Order: sequence, then structure tokens, then C-alpha cells
Amino acid sequence: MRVKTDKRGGEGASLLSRLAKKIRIAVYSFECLLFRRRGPKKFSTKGLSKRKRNDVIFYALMAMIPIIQFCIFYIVVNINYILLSFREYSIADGRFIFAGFRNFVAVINDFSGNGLMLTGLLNSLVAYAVGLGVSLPLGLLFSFYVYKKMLFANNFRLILFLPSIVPGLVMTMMYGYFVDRALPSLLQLITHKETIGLLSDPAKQFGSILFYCIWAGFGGGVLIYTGAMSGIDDSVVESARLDGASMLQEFFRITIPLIWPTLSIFLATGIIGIFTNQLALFNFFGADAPSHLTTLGYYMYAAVQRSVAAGGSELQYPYLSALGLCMTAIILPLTLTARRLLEKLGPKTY
Amino acid sequence: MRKIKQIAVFILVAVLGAPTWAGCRTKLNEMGNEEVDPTMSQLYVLNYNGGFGSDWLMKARDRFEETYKDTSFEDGKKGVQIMIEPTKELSGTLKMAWKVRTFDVAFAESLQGYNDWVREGLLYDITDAVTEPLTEYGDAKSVKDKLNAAQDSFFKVDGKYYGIPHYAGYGGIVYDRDLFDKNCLYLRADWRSYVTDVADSNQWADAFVAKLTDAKAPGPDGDAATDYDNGLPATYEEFFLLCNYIADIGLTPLTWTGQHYAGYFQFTQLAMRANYDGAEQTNLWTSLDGAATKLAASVTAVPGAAVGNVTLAPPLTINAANAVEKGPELYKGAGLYYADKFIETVFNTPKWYDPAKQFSPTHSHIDAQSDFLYSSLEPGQKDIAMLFESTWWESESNSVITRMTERYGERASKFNRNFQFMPLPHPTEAQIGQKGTILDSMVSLGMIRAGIPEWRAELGKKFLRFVNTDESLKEFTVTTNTTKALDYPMDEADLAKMSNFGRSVYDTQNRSDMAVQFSSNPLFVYNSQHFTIYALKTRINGTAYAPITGMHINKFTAEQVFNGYYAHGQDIFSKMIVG
Repeated sequence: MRVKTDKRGGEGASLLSRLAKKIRIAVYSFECLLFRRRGPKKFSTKGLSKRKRNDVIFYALMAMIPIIQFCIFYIVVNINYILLSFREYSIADGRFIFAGFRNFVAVINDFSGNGLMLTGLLNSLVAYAVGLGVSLPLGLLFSFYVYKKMLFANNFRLILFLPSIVPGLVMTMMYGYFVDRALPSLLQLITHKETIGLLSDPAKQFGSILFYCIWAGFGGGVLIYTGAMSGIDDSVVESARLDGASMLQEFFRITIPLIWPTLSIFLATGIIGIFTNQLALFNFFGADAPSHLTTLGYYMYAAVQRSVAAGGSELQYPYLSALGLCMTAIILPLTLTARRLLEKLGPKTY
Repeated sequence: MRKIKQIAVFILVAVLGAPTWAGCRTKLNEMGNEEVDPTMSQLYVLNYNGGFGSDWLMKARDRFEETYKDTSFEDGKKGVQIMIEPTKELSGTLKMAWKVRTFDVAFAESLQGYNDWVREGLLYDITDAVTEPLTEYGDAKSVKDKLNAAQDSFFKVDGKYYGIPHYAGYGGIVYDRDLFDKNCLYLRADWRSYVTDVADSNQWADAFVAKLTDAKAPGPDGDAATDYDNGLPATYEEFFLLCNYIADIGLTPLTWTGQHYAGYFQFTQLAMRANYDGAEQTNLWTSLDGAATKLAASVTAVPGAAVGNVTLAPPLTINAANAVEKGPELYKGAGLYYADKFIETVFNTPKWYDPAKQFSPTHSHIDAQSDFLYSSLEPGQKDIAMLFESTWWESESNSVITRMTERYGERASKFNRNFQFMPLPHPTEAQIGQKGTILDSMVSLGMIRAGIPEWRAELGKKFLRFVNTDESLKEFTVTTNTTKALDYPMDEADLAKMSNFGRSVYDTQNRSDMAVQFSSNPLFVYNSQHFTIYALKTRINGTAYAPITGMHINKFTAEQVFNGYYAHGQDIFSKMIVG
């Protein structure tokens, strides 16, 4: 297909027309991607028939909604959030005023003096460690089991993937009723002793919630890992088998190195989870989860919820924005460093 | 082929967008699916559809529409249609909705930061609707005449009114009087002469009447001539004795929601604190102007006793000049300690409740209400004597009660069961006879949205006035079996239409002083978020804990919790914005 270059896209073109051209190209590329048509290197509507032009307009209109949504709910929101962290709400004036670094000072003070934040940090680290030490290896092993199409692999996959299909709120409710109602009743039937549910007993709450998070998050990980594993060239595996590699050797020497790019992304983004993971606490307890269960992600989310409910949200938003920004300042270098290290130190496939 | 794809995309978009479209459409036809009548004027009314429900509003709507069926509010239209939109939005979320949605009048269950709303220009000035007598509806009084002094001062901002107090609600203990009667769960008048040691289970039965005609203890009011509280526990010690006895005879003394136990016990804490402190001291928390006479200099636990030793501090004067400095002293209120001690004892005595449910996040307030309601009717279930709840629980349980009535017949109806709002016991014998105090823990109000067309605002004002006539207020109370936060009379004929519980709420309110959780003090006005029940924390080892969860999860004692309040109070007051 021959496509003419748009002359208006040259040096002298206005910013607006260049932007319009970019959008047109994006839309056309989107169309190509959607209908698996080979896309042109450059694009202009001039060379298109009326029918095709109508198509482009149609797709442009369709694409406009997500683009506008992205602009408003991502770009504008994030700019506003950064600006908010340097402001405070003046009740007397009924507007936000410049506050300098006061919110950041409050955040740093809270990190050193607020036990709840430290509990949140500790719980978040524990959740990350459990995810790294338990959830990830189990997920990889199970994915390998499914990938090798061993006995009942597909049935297991279905069972373990179910929690990922059912909405989180429903899952937490079902899990809550099971561990807090059904399990004590079963135990009572067996042992003839009254037992308190796992979520009612403060000593067992954190453990049972961690277990839920591992179980509920298992399916998603397995899906990604099996997807990555299924992309491994059969000839590589076959060759290894011919050379006498055992299943374990295949797993560690072939599978892991070949899915390492996927795995490293999981490991790197897991670090972000330290600061965002809520451990489904809001689903279980609403905005008033017991303080010993708090994670950093939940702390922020619940603080917003509580301040909205108390009618003082404007007062809290600047502080919470500063807290978010502080966390980003920690997460960003940490994640990038981890990613670099994982790339550097991870197994090589060449 | 391309056409088919385009059609497929259109269908997909239509399917995805349908709920939004449906939402927009139903906005006009909410509540009872009432269609908009283009020949009439419409007034859109948002109502918090929680425990109080919307039945009262639908009754008022019917009468209002009938009253104005021949009146024209817009050119070419005659009559009015009240379009009711139920909502679950409170305070902050309501404010968001208020800014973007198109309704005219709202009845909010809880509105923190009323002054902020006014300052932000969100509310319509309804001064004339509040101050002018309601004569057009046959009521000689104005709405203003039905407000108490604290309400009048708070709702009037710079001489103008923007809201009218709406629901009254407070926490407390509900008891099943039928069950109490059946099991003679009333203390004898001279029970102390039979019981030498309240910890001795062999003596518990001796403390209670053998038959209902036996002389009963005078109850919290200390007056044997008043029958409503005779035999009921007057002190914490008697309450704990009652619980022990109920558990001993194989019943379950207490229940409450496990899912929201922290919030519900905060209501209980507020109620017990106010009942000890009295209205004047309770109002001091928000007015920050007066003499604090019930502050504790120290509290110490006494093993085996219902409450610890409290040494009261000398009276402390708090006023505008020293409020920021002295305000934290209020966190040393003895009432707080006593209330926490009560809650601590309840938490630490699992034989009084079902430990599998009472702290379970799966046990909702509706579950607790259902357990309480069903327990004495359902064979095989242990009867439950008392429920920690709030005044609106029976209204909230309407659907459960309806199902029960279908199953068990009329004997299960709320009119044939005898639930009562229990007069709260006092911490010690020293307070017996002290007049009860109720703290209206809600900042509920009716209001009109600023910026709506004038004719609609006038119509909204008429409606607000209409729902606040004595006739409408009575109808509200008869319908919901609760009260509104206004002063209005109820005659015997009205009371006869109410459930036993509803009457007991009305009686309790009449017998008690009312305290409020707001004031026009600038410190409160500018910092109202620090005065909500959820803002109360105790600082222990540098960490702020919610007192209720602190006592349950961290096993803090009431004394530890009390000693941590002051540090938190200092923290709060140091952050306050001085107007």
C-alpha cells in the first residue's frame, strides 16, 4: 500500500497540526494492530478514500475516550497530587495555600514517631518476604508442573485460577466466612471444643490474611509464568533431555533462565508492592482494620477513606500526597536498582 | 466485513455504556419508580437510606403532594412531585455528590464540617424557612422554636441558617423485656443483704427477684416510684452481676456486631461518658467554654472491683483565651475512664457473649440484630438478653422483623415484642439518682443546595418546613420509632401507635438532658474533624491507638488507655487551627 507523506507535518507546521497528525498515526496504527493489517511507515488521510477516512474518524472517536480519560485521570491527577503535596488547606479562606515542605516534614516525623507507620512498614516487608519466599517459588513450581502437562495439571490450573476470576470482594467474603464461621464449626464437630475463627483471633489474623493473599494471588502469577514457559522452544528442552538433563535440571538450567526476563519484572515490581500492598484489608475490615495488621498501602488508602468520611478530606490530602511522593522517592530508585541488578546478576540465555 | 466489525464495536460500546445510561435515566425515576410527570414541578430529594429508612419521607411526600396539588410553582405546571433519591453517602462523599449531582434538598445522616459547607457556598440560605412560624400548616411555632440553644447557635452562621437538625441518634443497650420478665432478671430491692460477695456464683441467684411482683431495686434513677427502671442495674457492678447471672442460667447476656464492634462501642463509650458527665460537662468538649469539674487527677485499678479508684482534679476553667492550652485536659475526663472500664470488663468476660461472633469481621450489625431478634423464638438457640446498638436498630431491622412475622405470626411483630432502651447504669453508687444525659452523636440535618433556581429553592424551603411541623415530626417518630433532634410533643394517641422500643426511646429522651457534639466555638468550627468519635485516640508508647481496638487487640487496660488520652489530646490541640 502506498501512502503519501503529509506535507503539513513539516518543519513549519503548527504544534496543533503536528499533534493532530500524531493522533492520526496512532489511530491508524491502532487500526492496523486491531485488524492485523500491515501499517505504513508514514500516514496521511489525503491518500485515503472517503470510506477509509470515515473509518479513521470512527477509530479516532473511539480512541478519544481512553485518551481523554488517561489525560484527566492520570496526567492531571498526578500533577495535582504533586502540587497538593506542597500545599495545605486553609479552612478560614476555604482554599489551598502554599505550605512549602511542611507536609514532608510531617511525613518524616511520622515515620520516626508514629508507631502505626512503622507497624505498616514491618507488615509490608513481611508480606513482601512471604511473597518472595513462598508465593514465588510455589508459583514457579506449579507453573512448571502445568507447563510439563503432568497429571491433572489442567484441573489444578482451573482450581487455582478460580480466585483470580471471582471478584476480590466476593473472594474475601467467602474466605472470611470459611475461616471465621465454617472452620470453627468443623473443628468444634471434631474436637468438641469451642474455637474462635481465624479472623476473630488477633493472634491469627495476620497469618490468615497473608495466607489468603498468597492463595488469591497464586492464579495470576501462574498464568504469567505458564505463558512465559510455553514460549520456550521445544527443541531446547528436547536437546537438554537428550543430553540426560533431569526434570530438576531442566527447571533450573533451562526454564528459569529462559523466563528470567518475565520473572525479573515480577521481582522488580514486587518491590513497589511493599509500598502499595493493602493485603485486602479494606475488603476484610473496611477503613478500621486493627492497627497491628496495617500495611503502608492500607495506611494511605484507609486514611483517605477516613478523612472523606469525617468530612475533613481537604485537610488530609496534602499530607497524604506528600506521603505518596516520599514513598515514590524511595520506590523509584529501589525498583530501578533492583531491575538493573536482576538484569546484571540474573542467568544469561546467550 | 468491516461494516460487521464496526457494528460489533458499536454493540460493545452500547453494552458497556448501558449501565451508565440506565443510571442517568433512573435518576429521574428513583424510589418507587415514579415517572416524571411533565405537567408538574419536580423537587429532587436526597435521603440517607440507612437505619432510619425512607418510609417517613414517603409519607411526608404523599401529604405534601396532596397539599400542593393545585398550586403552580412553574409556568404552565400545576402541583409538585417529590422525587426521592436514596443514598448511602455521608459527609465527604456526600460533599462530592453535592457538587456534581442535580438534587435540591438533602437529609444527611451525618454531616461533619457544616461550617465548611457554608463557607464553601454549598448551602442555600434558609433563614426565613427556619424563623417564620409554620402557620400555613397549622403550627404556631417556627422551626427555630424547636431548636435548643446549642443547635440554634451552631446552625446559625453569621445570623443565617443553612440547615435544620434532622435525626437524633445515640448508642446504648437494648434489652428484651419479655426475656427479663420470663426469667425474673430484676434485682431485688434489698439484694445487698443477700449477697455478701458478688464474685461468688452461689449467691448470684439470691440477688434477683423470685417473681415479678417482688420488690425490685430502684434502678439508675434511685426512685422506686418510677417503674420503668425498677430492678434494672443501677451501677456497673449490678450490670456485671446481672450478666453473670444470665450466663449462669444458660442464656447469653450480650451481643453486638463483630464487624463494626469498634464503631459501635465508640457509640457506647460516648453514651456512657455523657451519662456520667452530664450535659454541661459533655458540651464542654466542643464549646471549650466553662468549668470542667469531672476531670480525673489519677486513676488506679482495683482488683475485683467494677471500677478503679478515681481521684478527681480541682475544677478547671476553660475559655477562649486558654482553650488551646487547657483543651487537652478534657481528655482526662473521669467519664472516659469509667466508660472504658465498662467496655474492658465486657470484652474480658467471654462467657457473657459468643466469642466466635463478637469480634468476627463476618458478623455484621444486621447479623447481630437478627441473632437478638430470633434468639427467643428460634428453637435450639440460646436466648440473648441484651444488644449493644443504637436508637435506630429496630427501624433498621424492619425487613428481618417482617420475615419473622411471616414465619412466626403476629407474636414476632415489633408491636407484640417488648424491647426497651435500657437506662444506662452508673459507674458507682454515688451517681444513682443523677439525671440521665443523652449525647446526640449525629450531626444530621436537612438542607438545600445552593445555586438551584429560585422557584425550586422556595419549593425546597416549603418542603423542609413541612417535614418539620409537629404533625410531620410525630409522623416521623411513629414511623421510625425513633426521634428527631427537635423539640416536639407526642400525645398518647401517637405513642400508642409506636412499638414498645420506640416508646422507650421517646421516654428515655424525655427523661434525660440532651448534649450535642457541636458548638459555634471557632476552635470547633475550624477543627471539627478532630472532634468526631473516630478521632479519639490514646497514645501508648508513642503510638496512637483507637481505644476500643486497643483494649480488645492489644489488651490494654482501661487505665493504660486513659493515661494515653492526654498525650493524644495535646497532639490534637497542637495541630488545631485557631480561627
